[in-house]
Amino acid sequence: MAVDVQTHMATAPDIGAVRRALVVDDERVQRLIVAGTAAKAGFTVDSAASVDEARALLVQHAYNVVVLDLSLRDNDGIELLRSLYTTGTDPVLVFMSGFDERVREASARLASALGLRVAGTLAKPLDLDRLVTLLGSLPERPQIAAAPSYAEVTPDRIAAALSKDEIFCLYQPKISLRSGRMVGVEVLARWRTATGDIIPPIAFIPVAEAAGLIEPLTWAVLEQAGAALHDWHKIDPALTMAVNFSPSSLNNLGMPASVIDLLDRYNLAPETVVVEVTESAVMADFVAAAEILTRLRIRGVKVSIDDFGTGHSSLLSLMRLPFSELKIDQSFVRSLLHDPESPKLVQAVLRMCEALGLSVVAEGVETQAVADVLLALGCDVVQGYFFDRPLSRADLTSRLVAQGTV
Amino acid sequence: MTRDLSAFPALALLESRLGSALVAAIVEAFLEDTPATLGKLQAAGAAGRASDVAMYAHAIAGSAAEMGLEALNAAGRQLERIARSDPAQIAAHLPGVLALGASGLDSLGRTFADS
Repeated sequence: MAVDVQTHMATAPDIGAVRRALVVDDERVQRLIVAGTAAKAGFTVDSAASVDEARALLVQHAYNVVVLDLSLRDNDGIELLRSLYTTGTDPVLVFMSGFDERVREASARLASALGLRVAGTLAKPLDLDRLVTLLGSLPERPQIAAAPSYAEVTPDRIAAALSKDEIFCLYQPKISLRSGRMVGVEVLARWRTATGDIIPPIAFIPVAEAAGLIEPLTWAVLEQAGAALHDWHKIDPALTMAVNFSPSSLNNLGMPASVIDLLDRYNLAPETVVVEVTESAVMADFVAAAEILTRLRIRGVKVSIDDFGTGHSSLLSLMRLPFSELKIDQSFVRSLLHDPESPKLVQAVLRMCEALGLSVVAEGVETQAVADVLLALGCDVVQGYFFDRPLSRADLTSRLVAQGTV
Repeated sequence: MTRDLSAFPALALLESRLGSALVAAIVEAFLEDTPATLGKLQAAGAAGRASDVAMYAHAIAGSAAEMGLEALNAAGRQLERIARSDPAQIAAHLPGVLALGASGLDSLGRTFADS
């Protein structure tokens, strides 16, 4: 009898209704135990005995979770991490290993540094209760990663898309954990082509940046978002809207005046608008960025530093620039449950922000457990797929109406 | 058929979680795969390939731990450490791992012979 728990419910669809797990271990005994446990937990399970087998499966299916042995005979599990990053799905990782905890945690940190999501690590022999707990903590849906490239994305096509209003906005809600209410949104640009395909920003923003089209693109987005916020303020006047600005926008000394003009035209209170910038964008031309951000703050617009903690001069930036908000990068948030250092860092950031008078937003919250930890640490405002995926203007309006007034 | 797993509490626990059919498959996988891994371990030791000794010892120890073969698990872990830190001592420890592997296979094989 040579039984392997290769595939249950093999005809099930890949995404959405079925939760799918991939077990990667060169030992059949371990594969059977993990696969059997995952199957009992309701997963459709595939098994791979090598990195090559795993890669082949990853291009066929979207997995919610990959349970990965760190010590494979043909390779080590780390080799698979970069493959995971480029396969078009973004499964959550569970590392297992007979090596000590430091090796497992270092691997988890490496995965987080690559932008991958890690649910936790498992020692061998396997603790099945912990495995079940980790599998139960996963988000319901596999995340579809942005495609790494789109051959049809050219500067000419982006310019045409702008003229044909193919660029549109989605809005990612920000939630107060204490009140449970939506307190703000972040504007996200998308491109719907004439054929109905949706092109994610990662595919066209860099092209627009390089082609000098980011300014018209940014203002096309801002016009739509400004009009939407004007309407939403009739329901909730305190709702805030965050807009991302690119590095080149922080070279344009006319940008503050343009923002103020937009606020005037849509009758928006400046304190309800948040200009989000990344640290790297600020550092590209620090003097110009400092002037622009200071002028915005003088006019009452809030300024947020995005992806805090992933750059290399964060504290210096915080000291020199007039930020009013800090966003804790999702790599810290995602590792809260499995990396014992992560809650300490997040708590330190929260204390620092309190001392500096900065508000805080934690991004990338995908489970109730992570939200609970953040609330316990003192973080109130969060965003992430656990609460809402990015919503259309109409859907967000409905959500605001359902929420009612305070 | 009901098996007496009193000598293998780790397998009894697995059976309570995963069911008897899957545990039988897991043990069968161990019985089928481990002799080959022991053979590769022996060959690696004879050839002086310390990194391979460490790799196969690690694999055997891991599977043995899941079966509840604690002595084989401990000896395998020790051989793995020795192979990485003091390869000259491999020859002194390898026979013990091979012997524990053989006895573990025999014990499990008899318990699961009828399944």
